[in-house]
Amino acid sequence: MTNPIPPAAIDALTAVFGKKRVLHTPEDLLVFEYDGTIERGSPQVVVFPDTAAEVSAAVKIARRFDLPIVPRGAGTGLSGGAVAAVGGVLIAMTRMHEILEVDVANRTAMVEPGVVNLHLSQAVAKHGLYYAPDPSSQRACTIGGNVAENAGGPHCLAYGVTTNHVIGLEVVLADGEIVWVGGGARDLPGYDLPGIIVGSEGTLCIVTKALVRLMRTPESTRTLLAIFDSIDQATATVSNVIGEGLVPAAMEMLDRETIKAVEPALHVGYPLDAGAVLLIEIEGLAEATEEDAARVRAVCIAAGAREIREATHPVDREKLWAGRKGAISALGQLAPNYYILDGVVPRTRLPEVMQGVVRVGEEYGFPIANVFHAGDGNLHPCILFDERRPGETERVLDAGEAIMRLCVDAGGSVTGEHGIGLEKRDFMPWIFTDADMAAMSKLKAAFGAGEHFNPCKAFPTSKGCGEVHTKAAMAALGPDAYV
Amino acid sequence: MTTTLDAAALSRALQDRIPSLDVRDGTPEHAIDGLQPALIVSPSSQTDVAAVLGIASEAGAAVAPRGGGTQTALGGAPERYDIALDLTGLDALVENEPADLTVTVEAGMRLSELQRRLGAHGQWLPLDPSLPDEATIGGILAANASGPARIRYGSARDLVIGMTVALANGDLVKSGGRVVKNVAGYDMAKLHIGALGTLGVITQASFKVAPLPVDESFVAIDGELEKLTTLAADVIEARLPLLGLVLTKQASAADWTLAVRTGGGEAAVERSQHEIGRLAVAAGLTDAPITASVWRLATHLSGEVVARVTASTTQLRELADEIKTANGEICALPGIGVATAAWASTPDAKTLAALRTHCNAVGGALILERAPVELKREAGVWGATRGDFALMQRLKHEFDPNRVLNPGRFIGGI
Repeated sequence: MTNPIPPAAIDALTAVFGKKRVLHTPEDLLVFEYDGTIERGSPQVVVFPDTAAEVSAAVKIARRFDLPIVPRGAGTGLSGGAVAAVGGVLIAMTRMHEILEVDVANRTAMVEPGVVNLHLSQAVAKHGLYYAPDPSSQRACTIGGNVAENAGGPHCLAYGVTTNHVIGLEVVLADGEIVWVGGGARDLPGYDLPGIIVGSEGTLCIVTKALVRLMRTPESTRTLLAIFDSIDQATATVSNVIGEGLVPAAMEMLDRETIKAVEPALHVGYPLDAGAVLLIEIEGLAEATEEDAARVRAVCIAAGAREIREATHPVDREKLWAGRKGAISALGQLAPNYYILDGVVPRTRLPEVMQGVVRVGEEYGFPIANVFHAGDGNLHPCILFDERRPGETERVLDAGEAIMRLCVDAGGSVTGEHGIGLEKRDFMPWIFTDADMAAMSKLKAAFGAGEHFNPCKAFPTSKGCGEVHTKAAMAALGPDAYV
Repeated sequence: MTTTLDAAALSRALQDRIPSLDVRDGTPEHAIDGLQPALIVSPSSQTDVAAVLGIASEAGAAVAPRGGGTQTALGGAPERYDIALDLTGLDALVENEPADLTVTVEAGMRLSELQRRLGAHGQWLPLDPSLPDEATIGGILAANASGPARIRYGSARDLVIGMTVALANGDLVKSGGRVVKNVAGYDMAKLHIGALGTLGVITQASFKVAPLPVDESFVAIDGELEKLTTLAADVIEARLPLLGLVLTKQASAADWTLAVRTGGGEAAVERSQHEIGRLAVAAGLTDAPITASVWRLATHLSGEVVARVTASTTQLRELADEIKTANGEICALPGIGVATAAWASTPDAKTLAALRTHCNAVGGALILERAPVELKREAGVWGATRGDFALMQRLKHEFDPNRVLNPGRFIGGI
């Protein structure tokens, strides 16, 4: 349980932000105690900066009162990254949501961190451009959050993840200094600071501007839905497509359990009796997509696909993707809670790992819905459960851990794109030695970040992190609270 | 400039603690900017590399890692230089599962050897810098060397998925992994790419690889700079499956040349050739096919003085013009904004300073990759530091507090 925040800290923040942009009552803090996961943690105060200078001021005040600092975007994260583990000052970046400049000739955009991912693509669509990293949460998630987690998305198979699209960043350091790292040009002399900041999960600095790369929309896009009787056939197909030297723009898998939730809710055209489907997108010149689509079809059929449909109209394509991107939310049809896992394995190991996932589900007695970036080997088993049943949450976490172990044993990693956050700190020693992590901690030292920025995240529990689930704001209000 | 280091004692310490280690006396061949090291050390394992650094650190010795020696000129004069650390003995292919489109290789393997091995499975590492027969993987990463293929595949930072590095404190540490998406831990590989070994010595790297194109075409169009710049922009806008787009002016040529490489399926390449032809004709120019070897010659430069110039893509034409006016040869990558400039005979420092000022004005830089010692000293290798230099200094301090690794050679004298 964190100490109450000193009133002087509230006063200091109010002097900078005004009363409206400082929240500190339990009722107000309630909304900020969670993200996209089952983690909970109440900040002691939330502020909403409009400028980098205000971010800097907030950081300095937090430091003065020795309060932890937690940057937050839209709160859609899936590893607890924006959850205040040990209270502190939550700096919500959502008011900084301007697209500052679009340079069409150089195909770059300068954006504030609160810009919603999809809004950026929509804003530059009129120039025939788009921002490639497309997490499923892109209607809500923000660029700043994407940078913190090195977010991926279905089209990262061909185009890379966030770090491949960030050219420069303006950041606020732990002493409040505002610094520009990277630059307008490529290959600048010196260390690749944007490269190490992307994916650092808010533990090194706070991003206040990003210069990102835009891409030209392709001439031709073909979207296929390959339908299989079994997950095994689908995973074998993924492995074989890559093995053939074909790299589609996206290759996503949804299994029967997922389709059961998605189709009745969204009516996008997924067959309810399939064991699994692959949503495969191919982009390029018209000649290239025709050729590649034919090759992909052949691989699917050889692996036993019972049918392959192609979205011939943009509306059908949108529907297929709406089903994929709305899949997680649709899981609410099947159970009150889900725990979405994020693991990654070499593609050749997908078939065996997915069999392992099925076994874990059976062993622990949970239905598991799988919807994921099969082309990257990046799996998202979603364990369906009901947190109201006693002991269920604990068992779910154990099942999750068992699946993570499967990934590591298959030569993979414990997170493909969601981040380590709170969720997986203690898995880090499975893949990194003490020396590996000691080297990483040198980054924190170089940034002067210590444990000030997002403490208790990304690395194994340090002292003081212990029991993460601080007394939630709800509990603080008392049993008779009306919220 | 010799140091107070007792080279003989160091040599004994190295051989005592690492009995199998190959330790020899330094030769002029290993000199950097006229400074000859006391010792050449050639480890045969990654753990030995780390052990060497640990011992060097204890002894206060300075180490310069080297692979094929193609980029030893890159960097300022060493503050101290006691050990040339030769990585060429670390040349194992650690792992390659073709169906995964990934490869893990030790730092001392030559790029062309890696390409040969991947080629046997119809794949390649889509990185095409100069001198692939001599350059090693580690050196290419440490110098952040790249080539025209980056228009599709990016540069080293976009291809590395895991890395093992020997640190100055004797630790051998890894980051990333062998999978194409991975956000566990900090992305430490980004630290070391382009860092000239100043934060650690790369001993192993894992990469995403690409399928070799089924079909390819190489085409060249000669003409004036202005027209070719516009043509290049049109080619980019045509969204062709480019594997390289190079605007070049070499001493022997009367005109500028735009060289285009496309790769993919047969139909896509045929379409590309057709499009390029159409665009060329519309510009009043003619395109002609060239061979792969002519492409290689046209798209890589060498010289007494070589500079890497980086600017915004729209500024590239002006810079290219300026370089030509200064009697340099140039290979520019439109769409990326990076160019190589080379001079057969040494330009003066003022010329380079003017060029650099122009680059800086558009948010870019000029890096003197190769030049006589005096010119490097006068003009400066890296140019001025920027607002993030303090952070870089702190990184150096964290990773190499005793200044073991290439001290003084990096930006701002790091």
